[in-house]
Parts: sequence; C-alpha cells; structure tokens
Amino acid sequence: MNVITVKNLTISYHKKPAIKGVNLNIEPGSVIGIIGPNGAGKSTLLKGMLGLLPFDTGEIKIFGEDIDKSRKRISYIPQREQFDWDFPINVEDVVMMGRYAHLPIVGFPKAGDKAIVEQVLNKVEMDKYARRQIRQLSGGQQQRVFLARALAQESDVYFLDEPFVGVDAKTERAIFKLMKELKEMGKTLLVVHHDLSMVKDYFDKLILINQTLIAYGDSEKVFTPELINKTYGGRLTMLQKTEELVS
Amino acid sequence: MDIFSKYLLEPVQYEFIQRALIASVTIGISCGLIGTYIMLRRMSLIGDALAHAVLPGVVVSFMVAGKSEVALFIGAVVSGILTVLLIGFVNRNSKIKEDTSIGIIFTGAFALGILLVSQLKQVHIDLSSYLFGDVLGVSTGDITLSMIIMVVIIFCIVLFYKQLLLTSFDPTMAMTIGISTTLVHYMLMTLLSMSIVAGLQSVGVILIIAMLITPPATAYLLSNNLKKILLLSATFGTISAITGLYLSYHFNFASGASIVLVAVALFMLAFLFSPKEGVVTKLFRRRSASKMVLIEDVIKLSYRFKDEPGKTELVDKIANELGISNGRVEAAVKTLIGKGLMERSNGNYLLTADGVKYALRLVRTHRLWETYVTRENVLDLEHIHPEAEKVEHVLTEDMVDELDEELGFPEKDPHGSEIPRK
Repeated sequence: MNVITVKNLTISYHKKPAIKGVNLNIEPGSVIGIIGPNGAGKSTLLKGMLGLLPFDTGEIKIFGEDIDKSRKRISYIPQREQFDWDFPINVEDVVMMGRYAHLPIVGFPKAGDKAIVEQVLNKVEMDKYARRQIRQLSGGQQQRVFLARALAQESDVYFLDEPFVGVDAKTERAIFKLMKELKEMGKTLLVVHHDLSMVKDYFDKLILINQTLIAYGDSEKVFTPELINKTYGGRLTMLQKTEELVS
Repeated sequence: MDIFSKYLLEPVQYEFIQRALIASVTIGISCGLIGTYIMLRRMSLIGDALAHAVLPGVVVSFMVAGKSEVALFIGAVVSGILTVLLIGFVNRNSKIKEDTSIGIIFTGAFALGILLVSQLKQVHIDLSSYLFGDVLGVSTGDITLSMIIMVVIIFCIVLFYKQLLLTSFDPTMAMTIGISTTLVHYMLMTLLSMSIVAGLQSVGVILIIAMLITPPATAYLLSNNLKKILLLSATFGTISAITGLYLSYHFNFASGASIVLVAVALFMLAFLFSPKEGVVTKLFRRRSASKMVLIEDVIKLSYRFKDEPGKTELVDKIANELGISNGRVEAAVKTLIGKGLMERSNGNYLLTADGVKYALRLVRTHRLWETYVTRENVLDLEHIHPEAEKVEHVLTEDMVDELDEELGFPEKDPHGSEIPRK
C-alpha cells in the first residue's frame, strides 16, 4: 500500500499558487529528497502533506486515510531557525513532546514514556545533555535533539525540513546513519533539501519540484542535468506570468 | 508594641484588610501563572488590550444587573473574548497587521466603556476604582469570585500543561499531532480575561498588565525551568500585591500603583543581580574571570618551571614571564595554597598532586585547541598560540572531551608537543 497518495494538489498563498497540480504515490521504506530552488514550494508541499495548510484543490491520503486519522503515524522535524532558543525548556522535555501524541488529552507521561525518551537520547548521543537548556547546545546538538523527539514519536513517516543546514560533521553523520536505520525498519522519510551536493548519497528517490512537479523517481534516474536544469531554470514560464496578472 | 506588630499585624485585625490580603494572594497567583504564558507567547500587547477592553462589559453588567459579581464576571469575559475575535477578524480580512488592529480595537472598546459610564447617570459606578484599583475596597463577593477564578486557572494549567507548553514552544508540531492551536489560544484568552477580572478591583485596568508580565519576567531572569518560573512568578505576584497593599494602607498610596511599583522593584533586583543573567553579576563575573585567568596562568607556569633549577625564585620567574608585579603573583599563589593546589616546602612553592592535574588539564586544552584550529585552517601557526592562551581558560571539560573526540584523540599538537591524556 502507498504511504502517501497526493492527487492534483494545489496550495496558494494570498491567491498565488505555491504548488500546482502535484500528483505523487509514495511507497514505504525509502528516503526521499524534495529538491528545488528557493521559493519552489518544497516546504509548502511538506506542510501540505502534513495537513498544516488549507489547499485549493486535491486530496491527500496517508496510509489510505485522511491525515486526521493518521496523525500518530507521522512526525515532523522543523527547520531550526523557527524556534525561540531562550524558551525555558531542557533537552529531555523537548524530546518528551514526542510522546504527547500517544498520551490522552489530560494524561501525564508515564515511566514507559520516560524510558523511551532516555533511549532515543542515547541513540543520538545526547543523553549527557538531558538537563541542558536548549540555548546551551551547539547547532548540531540542537538538531539531534529534534531528531530524538521525532524518534520518540515512534511514527512510520518522518518529514524533515532542511535537517542538514548549519550542522557539524558529527551531526551530519548521525542524521545520515539514522535515516538509513529508519529506512531499514521500513519507515518512510521525506526530506526537504536545498543544495545539490550529496543528493545521490542521501536519497533513494527524489521529488524535483518548482511549483509543478518536475519529476519523481529513483535518484539515479532523475538526477540528470536536463531535469535539474528544468527544475532550477530561472525563467518563469508564460503560464506563471499570466497567472500573476490574473490572480 | 514593637515595629513589626505595629506595621504588619495591627492592620490584619480589620476585616477589610483581611479581604484585601486574600485578594492580593489570589490576584498574584492568577496573574503570575497566566502571565507566564502571555510572556512566553509574546502576547503582552494583547494582554494590555484585553485589560482595557473589559471595561464596556463591566459597565453593561452594572446597567443590567447592578452590583453583582456573576454579572460582572460574565460581562468582562464576554467583552474580552469579543475583542479578541474582532482583532482577529480585522487582521485576517485586511492588510492591517495584528499590532495595529489590537491598538484600534482595544482603545475603541475602552473609549466605549468610558462613554457609557459618563452618559448613563443611573449607573453609580466608581470609575476611578476600576481604572486605578482600590485593594482596600474589595468586597466579600469580589473575593469569592477571584478565588474561583484562581482555582479554575490552576486546574486548567495543570490539566492542559502539555497542550499549553507545546503550542507555546512549537505550534507547528502541535498541529501535526492534532492539537488545535486555535482552541488552546481561546482557552488562554478566556483565562486571561478571567485573571483580569480578578485583578480589576485591586490593581485597575490600566496597570493590570504589569501584574501579568512583570512577575513572570522577573522569574524568567532567575530560571530556565518552566515549572519553576510558574511558581516563582506566582510568588513574586503575591509578594508585590501584599507589599503594595501595606504601602497603600500606611501611606494612603493608590493601591494599583504601589503594587506595580513593588513588582517593578523586584524585577530591577533580578535584572541587576540574577545569578545567571544579572547585569551587575556579569560585571563581577568578568572581573573574577580575569582573576581566574591569572591563577590558571600561575599554575601552568609553575608546572613548566617545576624541574628548572635556578637561582631566581619561582615567583620572580612567573612575574617576569607574565609581565606583572611580584605582588600579584604572590596573591595568586596564596589563593592556590588556600585551594590546596600549591604548597610551600623548604621555602619553595610547589604544585600539589591536584595542582599538577589542573596544570595538565590546561595544557591538554591548549594543545587540543591548537590542533583543532590548525586542522580547520582558521588561523596559521604563528597566531594560534595567543588565541589558545585565551581559549584554554574558557572551554569546559565537556567541550574539551568533545574536541578530543572530534579530532580522533591526537597525540601531538601542531608544534610537535605531546598532548597530555586525561
């Protein structure tokens, strides 16, 4: 069964379409890169699939069901810059948030949840820093904390928004290793990625997008000069120009 | 009668003072707790807006039901929520940004409230007590109301702790796991309106925002832990309210103003002297840091000179090397002896075993750092030494271990000297 099915998805900001008519069938057990230039709608596609944005047309199914029925099966690792790092919270409390999806509305974390938090912190080698306030970590360590939080969610699909931005070599290795492990466990990972180096190493499959879907398929087949040019080609198509005028 | 009982206990025999005390505690706790979330969510402006905007609701409730606490409560909360909805509506349906829309709606609502008070003669409402607060005029009904409000607020914060935390820290994740950020927002706005109602009588609408943000801000300067901040904030709110009440009683000050000034005084104390963030504390820390650098330099040099026989005294050599007076080195040596890192034997100063360990740690840090910056091509060989001289004093042991691991546990530094192992 498909993990995610996207049919004819169009999402607009202030009446201007950010992505248009996207169709995708995503199968389980792969690491998929979402590639495209700035403003191409990469994050919009990701947030659309997560059900965070209202869409104009189209349909999204996760495991064949509406997003609201599969929320426990997905997790999201946002871009680091969106956080208030001075927030009074420490590492283990951030990771505990990963367990919230599994707790009842007024329930408190139990011993089992605490054990999971400890375990995932070990996994990303951040157990030493469990009590640290999050400002007092390096960029890479901060990224590992949010990876740990997603792991604590024990979900089947992982959405990562630019996880490799501003991290050290150790964290990059850790993220890469983790992506592989999760894939081997049959999980699906969708990763927004903005630069073209390492693309073939990181991702089994690629979604090339620039407002419309340019290509989707195995990295080996899709990562070609023609398709990359088409994705990054700077000039607006006539269609996009007219759309700006009539919107 | 001594001063303590004259100023603190004597007033408590009056019933109106007892009521005022209870009101102070409830308002301190209610506002301190809700205010913590208002501060963390950067909603101070909307807090101030709501405080003003409850006025028309209060007046209308007087017109309809006379002096009734229930009516007052309903009127205030309804006009608070209507204001929030209206602000959102203007914001969403025009290009007006949120802060402007807040400014327009709340002043409008406040003006409407004043107009109603001034025009409707049959309403005998003491406007000034609502504007500036009169903690000594709190009625039994007011107290019952504000105690109920406090209990509701505590319950909601305990029960929905995780929703409040997650929507404040990471609203996007909250949405992905199906928590409605809108619902949490309106719950918080309702609780905020309620805490404003609780504080109306004591502090007044104009200054109540201070009770909502000043104690939490004070607590935030003192702690990095949300639960501690909530507790501290409630405590500071209560202390401010009670102290303000006494000032108001003894000196006949306007109660709202004296409560707020106490809260601001507490904030200034934390701002200047907070152990982590205080402005004065940082100044002292910088001074003691430079003293620390001197002490560590003395340890390192004592280690370097330990096997060097010579006529000159250790203190002279160190003073020469560092280019400072003998007196300053003597002082540092004295501190080190006090800490058990140096000792005096046969008229010579020597490092103790602990002192040697300390010296080796400094050398390790220094040499690892030099290896690191050379590898990263940040600085060339000539310039790395002075840089490492500074860095060796600030890196924590954790960071040094991390550095060591990152470098693959090197044996020699770029100058070819051996790096001491841990």
